[in-house]
Amino acid sequence: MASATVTWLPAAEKRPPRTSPVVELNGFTRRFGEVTVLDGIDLKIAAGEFVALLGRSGSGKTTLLRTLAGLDPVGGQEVTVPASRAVVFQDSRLLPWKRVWSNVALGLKGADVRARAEQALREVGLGHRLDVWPRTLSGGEAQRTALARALVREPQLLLLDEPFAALDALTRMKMHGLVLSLWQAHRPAVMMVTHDVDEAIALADRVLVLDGGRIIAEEVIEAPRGERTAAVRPLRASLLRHLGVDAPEGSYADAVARSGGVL
Amino acid sequence: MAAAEGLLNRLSRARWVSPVLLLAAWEFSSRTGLIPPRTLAAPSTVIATLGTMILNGELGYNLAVSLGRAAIGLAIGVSVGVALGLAAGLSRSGEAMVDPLMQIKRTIPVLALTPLFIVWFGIGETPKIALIAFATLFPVYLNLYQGIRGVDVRLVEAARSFGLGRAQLITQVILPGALPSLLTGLRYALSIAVLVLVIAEQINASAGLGFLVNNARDFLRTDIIVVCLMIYALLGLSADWAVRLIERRTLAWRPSLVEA
Repeated sequence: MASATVTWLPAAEKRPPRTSPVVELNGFTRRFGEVTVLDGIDLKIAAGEFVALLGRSGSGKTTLLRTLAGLDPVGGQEVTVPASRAVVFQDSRLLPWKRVWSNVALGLKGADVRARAEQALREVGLGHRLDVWPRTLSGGEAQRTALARALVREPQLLLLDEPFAALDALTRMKMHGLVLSLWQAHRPAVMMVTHDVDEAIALADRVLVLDGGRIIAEEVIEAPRGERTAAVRPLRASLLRHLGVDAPEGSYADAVARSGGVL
Repeated sequence: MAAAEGLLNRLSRARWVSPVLLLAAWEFSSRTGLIPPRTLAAPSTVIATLGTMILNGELGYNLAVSLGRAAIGLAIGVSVGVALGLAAGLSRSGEAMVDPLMQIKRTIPVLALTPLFIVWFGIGETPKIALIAFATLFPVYLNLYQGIRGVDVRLVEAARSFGLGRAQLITQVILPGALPSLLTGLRYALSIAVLVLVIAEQINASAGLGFLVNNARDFLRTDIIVVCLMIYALLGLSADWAVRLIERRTLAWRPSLVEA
């Protein structure tokens, strides 16, 4: 069983250089009929930056991701996104009638498509599952395949739509490690939509909180990954507060116990 | 004693026992004159007739004629059904054009068109083939159309996010996704083709299984009628078997067929 190693990255990581942003939205607004889902969003993401977008259900975070993915109409508003981008959805969305490698190779052009797909699958630890049908994969394997399918395109912008929400806690931990090492190796700009505060803090350079279609908070995490323990407690509490959970500072275990008493 | 009991026990659960008993009773009744040959020929006579008809080529020739009719009718019906299903499934204007007509067509029992087809096409091969084509068109159309519309939009969306154009979306996502439904339609079409073949061949045929049956009726040859019934049953079975074979080849990815 090949498994992805959990590597908490060394302290020697660099801040992304402040070049011109690969993603830029200015006052972006999206309405469905009477309902305003996104309300004047200003967003810049630098090349190679890892941004987490936190929000409750219905906060508009998935709509924002779909806008950046080019899946939703933008109604003539100016949206700057790189041409090469790839999405990993919450459900892996593999085509059940294509073998795993062929799913990764979907839509690839140029020479050696199979070799490139194989290389990407090996990178996510699935070199032994190239020729199986997607239905035989476990949930974690399916999401790793979806990651390989996204990364094989060498995207400048990687969009993750709660990609680990449906996985069990242990698999999720391995996936977090895998995503970090892949991001280190390929350096795409990443926007990850999640409702998991700890996931956001563990992975991102910057955390945005979306509520009612507006970005209501932004936290830049200065501490390098691997040295974030001290920063986590206050950050967690403040992010949770923005999400409408009045949890005291502290670990998840204590926070749950105390808020349970309060609520 | 115990062994005999065990055998009895096993026989009482075997599925082949009752058909064999029925055949034996039938043979016995025919031999004793309980069932006269003009009502129903004995199984042994039927087998003997089958042998004769195979040996003198009568069966082979007429079967080939019938199969030819079914094949041409099916080919036309399936092609038109696929074309219309694609048109209605892949475009909104195609749907608006095609689907109402098909729903109207559905309300007319195909066999009720026989008199009209005879008026239009005479009593040669054309009305027979036209009936089969017309009858098999609908199940193929409907299943393909619904199969295309039923393709998981999330998969289409994902494929679109990876830069697949419309042509690639159709060939790599939509059509493979609709294939199981299309094959269901094809299976219906095949069994309908056999059914319509039986009726269509009653129209003044000069060759084919239906011709054999009509002739046998005139001469009270119940043995030949039973032989033809057997052949029709075999046609139905092999049609089903053919589709299963195609399914095994093309739908290997489906969970019921995947060996985990």
